[in-house]
Amino acid sequence: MITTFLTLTLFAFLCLFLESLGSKIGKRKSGERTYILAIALAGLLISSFPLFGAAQLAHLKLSFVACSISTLLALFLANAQLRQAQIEYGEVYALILVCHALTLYLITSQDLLQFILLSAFANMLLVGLSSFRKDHSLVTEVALKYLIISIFLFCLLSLSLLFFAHSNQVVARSFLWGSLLLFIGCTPFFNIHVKYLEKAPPFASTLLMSVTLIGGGSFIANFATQYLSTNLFHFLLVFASLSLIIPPILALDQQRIAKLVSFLCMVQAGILLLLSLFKLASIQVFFLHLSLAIPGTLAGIRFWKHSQKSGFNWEDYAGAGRKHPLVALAWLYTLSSLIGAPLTLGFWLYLEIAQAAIANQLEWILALIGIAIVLGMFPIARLAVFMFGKPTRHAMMRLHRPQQSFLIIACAGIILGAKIICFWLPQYDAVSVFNLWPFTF
Amino acid sequence: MIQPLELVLLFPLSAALLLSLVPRDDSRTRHSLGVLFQVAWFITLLYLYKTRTINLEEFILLATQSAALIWIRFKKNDYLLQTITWLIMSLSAASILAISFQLALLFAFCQVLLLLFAILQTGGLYKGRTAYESILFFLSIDLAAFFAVMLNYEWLYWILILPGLARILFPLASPHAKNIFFNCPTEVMILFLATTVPVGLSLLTHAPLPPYPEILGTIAAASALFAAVVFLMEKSRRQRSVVLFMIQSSLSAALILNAQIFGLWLCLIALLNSILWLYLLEWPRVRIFNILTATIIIFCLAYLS
Repeated sequence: MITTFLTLTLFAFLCLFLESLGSKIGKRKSGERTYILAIALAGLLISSFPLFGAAQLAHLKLSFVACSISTLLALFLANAQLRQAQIEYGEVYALILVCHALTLYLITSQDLLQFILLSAFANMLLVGLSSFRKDHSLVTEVALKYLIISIFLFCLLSLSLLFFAHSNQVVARSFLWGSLLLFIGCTPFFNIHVKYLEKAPPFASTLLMSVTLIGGGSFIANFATQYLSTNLFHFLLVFASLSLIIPPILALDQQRIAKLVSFLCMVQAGILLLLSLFKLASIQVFFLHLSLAIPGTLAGIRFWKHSQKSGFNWEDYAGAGRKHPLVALAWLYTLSSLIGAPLTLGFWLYLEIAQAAIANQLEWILALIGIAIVLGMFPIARLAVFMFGKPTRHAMMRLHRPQQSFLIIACAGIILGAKIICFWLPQYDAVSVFNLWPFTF
Repeated sequence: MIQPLELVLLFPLSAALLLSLVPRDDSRTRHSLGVLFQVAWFITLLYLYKTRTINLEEFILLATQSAALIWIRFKKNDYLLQTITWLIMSLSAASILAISFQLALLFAFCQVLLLLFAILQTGGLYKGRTAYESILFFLSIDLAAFFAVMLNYEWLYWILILPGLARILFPLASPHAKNIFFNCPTEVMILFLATTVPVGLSLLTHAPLPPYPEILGTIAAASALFAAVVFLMEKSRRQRSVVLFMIQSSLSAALILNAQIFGLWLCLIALLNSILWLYLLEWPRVRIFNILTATIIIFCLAYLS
């Protein structure tokens, strides 16, 4: 683990050094930065080898894969955005690599102290990444708000540690779960997360979901579920149910598509909690799904633009499906998978939860899942109607890059492939099928 | 050996793919290929039935579906419709041959989703709104039935039969019927009826016996009466064919759910009758034949009920 961390930090410094060197000698155009991206990708690849080889971390293999996919896609999104916006700040790649290293550490964290320190560091990096466009007032506001919430989270976790040390278990557990719910953006604490997802650049949003849901989710799965009493179980079930229902309801009323999609992304916190409570074995497939669905979704929001200052409202998407049918279908499929519509990988996760809920005689969870899926499909079906049913009123500007189309289609394709694996091989445990991937070094 | 479910997914999907590869302006090749695939599909069905790979009910449902779609495949040279017909038919056939009720529901939802997507492309915002509402309606009832299979409560029977009833246009379970067929092109109407109704009938045959047959009979009779009143009030000739089918389907639903397979046969004849009405819309003399056939079917259904 330490080798991976050191390698990533080394490559992050290398990226930073090369960028400052490029700035000094005047090579500040976007085309000059390709080699830095190549170095960042090489760092990501080289650092992964010792991690997958470690026998004691074999059970976390899929979480590492999910985290690596998330970072890889974040690097591609960063590259596309930096070129598109013609911005010359170069610390982005270095920050992404360090953030990746911290998330990997978060996945393996086994005690609260480690989690507090790592999450605090990761949050600081997310603040830095969100405000990389320092000229944009809205982004700065989001960064500031996320900074405040990070400090608050740090205090809460520290208090929890303090109470654990003084053997006040009940209060300590309450503080721990309260802070974890805040960390993963569970309802009703999703406000800042939604703002971040909406305003921050897509690569920062991808990393936010990676840190909070994959890093935080792994900690919940490895450590926090040990401190679960019956009362706390029911308490968390209420929060999970709210997370499945409230964000899609709020998404119904949104005019801005970016905000609508952000609300739909927050359903993931509810799915994570339900999986932690009922089916821990499938949580790694959830991470894998998340690492593909979130970047695919976020890349799609900014794909269709009428102008540089597009508001991303409903009218902006009218006729977009007719213009780019394959990308539109792929994007809608990824969105549907995110809310767990039938024939997607998200639905398979819901099915796993449903079967476990029946075994625990909690049949009402089935109704809850059904309502959550239908509510989530309301805005997506409306989006499909706007994209395919309405003619476009504007001449769409070609602001997207071919890599973006590829990214959206590839994400949807891999999710569909994973769903087919789960569908056609029901006699096997899907988790073990995914473990048979060529990651068995 | 290849299973029938895999075959019905592979054969029509390959046909759709090959047809889509034919250049857009080469309608002659597309027409020849369409006829060839149709004949090959009939032969395949016959072979599957002869080797007892599929049973009689499945064979009849699939054969009726193919027969109802012949008009689209032989007469029209619409590039998109030719391809999409095969796609939708493959999903519909997969739902009919699915090994479990849940799998059948998944394929059925996928089929109706694609169909509504095709309808969305045929019109403006009005069709868009109709398609949007219908997608959510089918999603709700299909999901509810999908999860209801996992549980064991008597009252869930009414949720289990809803997807089947909605697909055979049972008046009380299909609020979408009026809006979907309004100003819809005839080919798309035929496509909807020919692919969705057999799926609904197949889903109904999978349903368990009703806990209260009297209630079901009363609901079916009331629905048929309601549809008959709508039929008399309806002005549009095209819409009347659908409403006429609704009278027959509501009566046959009660029979099928009470495990009387004769209802299935009569409903399929009623379906072909309505599609014939739609296809020969400009021929007033044929309508007399249509109404006569429908009257006989309604009489038979009422007598058997």
